[in-house]
Amino acid sequence: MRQELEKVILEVENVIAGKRNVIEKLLMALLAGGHVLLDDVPGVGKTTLAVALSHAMDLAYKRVQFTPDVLPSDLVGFSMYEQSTGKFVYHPGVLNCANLLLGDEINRASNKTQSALLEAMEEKQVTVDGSTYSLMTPFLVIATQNTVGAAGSQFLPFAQIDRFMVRLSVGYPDYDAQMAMLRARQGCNPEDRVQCVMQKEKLLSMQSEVKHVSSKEAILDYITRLTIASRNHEAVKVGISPRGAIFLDRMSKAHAWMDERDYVTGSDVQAVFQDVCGHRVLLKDTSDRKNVEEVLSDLVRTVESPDRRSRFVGMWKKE
Amino acid sequence: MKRRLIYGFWFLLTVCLYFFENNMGTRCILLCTFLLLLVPRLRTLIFSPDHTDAQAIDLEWDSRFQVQQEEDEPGCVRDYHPGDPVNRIHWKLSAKRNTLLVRENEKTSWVYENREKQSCNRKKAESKKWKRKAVWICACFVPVIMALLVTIPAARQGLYVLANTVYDASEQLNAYAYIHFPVDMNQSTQLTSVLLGTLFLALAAIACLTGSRIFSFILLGSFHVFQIYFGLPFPALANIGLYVLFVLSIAQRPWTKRSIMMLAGWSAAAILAVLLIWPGVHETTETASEWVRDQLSKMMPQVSVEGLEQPYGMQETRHVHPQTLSSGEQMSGKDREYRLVTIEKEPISIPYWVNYLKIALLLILTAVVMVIPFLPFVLLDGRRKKALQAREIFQSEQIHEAVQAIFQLVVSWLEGVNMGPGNSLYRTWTGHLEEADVPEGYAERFEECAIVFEKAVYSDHPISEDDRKKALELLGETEEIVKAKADWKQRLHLKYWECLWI
Repeated sequence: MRQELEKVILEVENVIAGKRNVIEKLLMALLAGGHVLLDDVPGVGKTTLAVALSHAMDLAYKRVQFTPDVLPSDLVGFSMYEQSTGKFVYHPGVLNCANLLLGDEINRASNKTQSALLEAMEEKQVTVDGSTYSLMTPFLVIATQNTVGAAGSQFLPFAQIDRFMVRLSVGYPDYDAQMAMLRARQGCNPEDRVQCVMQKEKLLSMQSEVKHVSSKEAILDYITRLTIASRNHEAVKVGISPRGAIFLDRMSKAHAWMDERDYVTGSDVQAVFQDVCGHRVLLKDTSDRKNVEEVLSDLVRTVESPDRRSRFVGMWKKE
Repeated sequence: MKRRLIYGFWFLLTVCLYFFENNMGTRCILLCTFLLLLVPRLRTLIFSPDHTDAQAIDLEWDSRFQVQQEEDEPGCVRDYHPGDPVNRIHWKLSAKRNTLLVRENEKTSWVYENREKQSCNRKKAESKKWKRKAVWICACFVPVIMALLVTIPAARQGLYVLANTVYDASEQLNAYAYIHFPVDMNQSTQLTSVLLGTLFLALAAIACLTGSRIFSFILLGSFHVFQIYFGLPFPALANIGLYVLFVLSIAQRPWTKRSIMMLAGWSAAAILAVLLIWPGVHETTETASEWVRDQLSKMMPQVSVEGLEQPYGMQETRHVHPQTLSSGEQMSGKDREYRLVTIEKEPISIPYWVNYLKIALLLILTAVVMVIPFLPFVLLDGRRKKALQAREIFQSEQIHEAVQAIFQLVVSWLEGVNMGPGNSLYRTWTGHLEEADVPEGYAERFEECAIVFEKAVYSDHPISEDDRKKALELLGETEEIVKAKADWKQRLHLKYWECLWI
């Protein structure tokens, strides 16, 4: 584990105890330049996690609490007529001045508001009245969505879900973690005590390092076989998209980089596979016994691993 | 495909030789070789894991079991639509879900009823497996015993004598029938033969359609009794047809590629058996049955025996029904005649090239027989070459390739003795290896090498000579472990690799 990131993780862990795995995955997505969908029951610390992360990394943090009447212009900004100059002046929205945008309960937003996020997430720019404004770098969206009590909410369109690099769920803390959490909150709010341990510029350089992690043919081949197998799986209606394959590659690179390697191995791919592809797979019949996790682990089990695939050509033929 | 070609070739060969070769010994050798050829095929048919019937039954059982399992799942129910029969409502689930749900699966109840039968089926499958093994063991004896019967002169002579006794009995029966059952010779046999023919056809059809083995055996047996009783053996071709019919009737249904193949094999074997066993009455048998004819002639002075003075062997002797001979004469019902008529055998002219063909075929046969013992050596040499090639790679300048090759050999050895956890990353094998019975620290060394292997496969980082040495050490250690665990087959396989360390 890299030293700088270790510090960040320790800082965040002061606030949310016992969720190291989720924090690591979140950082990986950040390093790979993707967006995160936190999908969980209310009150497990989705928001706290995002806030603590932004504090620890000195990121400009903005938060949008989505409701049905949040409008697209609230996000992307709007042009307003100014009488003194007689011109339309662009007033930036919340996207323009955020490194880390927390979209709370994104499934409550109306469809047009959700779609306003699409361009921002994909191209990292917004277009208002024909002029395009690029967003701050790095730009990361952490959207949360409640799985229970979703009455009156819009389901996220599959096209938008696909744009999130990973879907994570925080989950309930265990006994020790919850005790630690309660203890930490006796005096003051631990979120305020989170110190900035890393600069934004460092994060940018890390991102470019992650981009230069090498994925050999064997790994690309493995990713391709995994995704194709997901499309041909008997229980799957919609398999992993090509975008999913690209994200899987990028996320594996981030995982390898976190592990202080500059090459991706099969274990990286397998480690992030569930998180990257869990929300990209639609099963055929909702009443089927299998859930997505089972299908994905089924794929990992059945698709030949790259280690075995790389059988040295010319010496041992498969018998 | 190749194997089928060989079978076809051998079959044609045998048929050709049957027509041009009268030597019993050659025929039997051919039969035995054919059976030996058939043996591996039979073995795969009996033991191949995805082909055995027992397996099929197991599978069937599994699928049934699944149906039964799913039946409790919500997968087999759907929402109630107005118009659905009320008795199909799944009340229990409906109460649980608070909506009306309807059972969808029709087979459900059937599954419940059959649940008890399933365990029974499983036992049957088990016993069938053992039965098949027993069949296989018995099948091994067949070619051996046939070869013994042919090669040991005493046994061969005994065979003739046995055949002779059968013929004796048939002739006595014949004579008894002629004496004790008055026959009206003027009566036409057409109607009877038509009726009998239809009867047998019907029986054969029943046997074929039902696939009842016992029925087929009875049918076959009755045909033989019929033939022996009347002392009028059918021509060989008719018997072949009979056997084919027999095999058809006992073959497995439904027709699959496999069962058809099996059928073809068995019918070929049956045809060969008939051709070899039924070449007509052997001279020895014929001479031996003279005694019967003497007795007959003593019993019935009116029977005129013709051509007995002539030496046997040059003529073929046949029993001819009196009616066919004396159709012109007027005979009363009480006058019966029993005659032996000798027909001159025409010498068969064999084209000269047949001899060359025979020689060529025999040469091929000899060559094949000669090569078989040397095959293991040839194969071993191939392995040895492979091992040497591997050694070259292990020591090559390309350390990347060398490490990959070494580690893959380690893995393939471990998998050979079922110590690998199947399709997974090598790095994750450590836990599995720790559970297995391996020396202290082996799992750690394996993991170290696995990481080096990953480095070699997935990156361009330089790999030190030390890493290669470690990998080679691991290979040596693995060899010891594998040797201790391997059965004789795998140990033989390992032998090939030993020249690596020489």
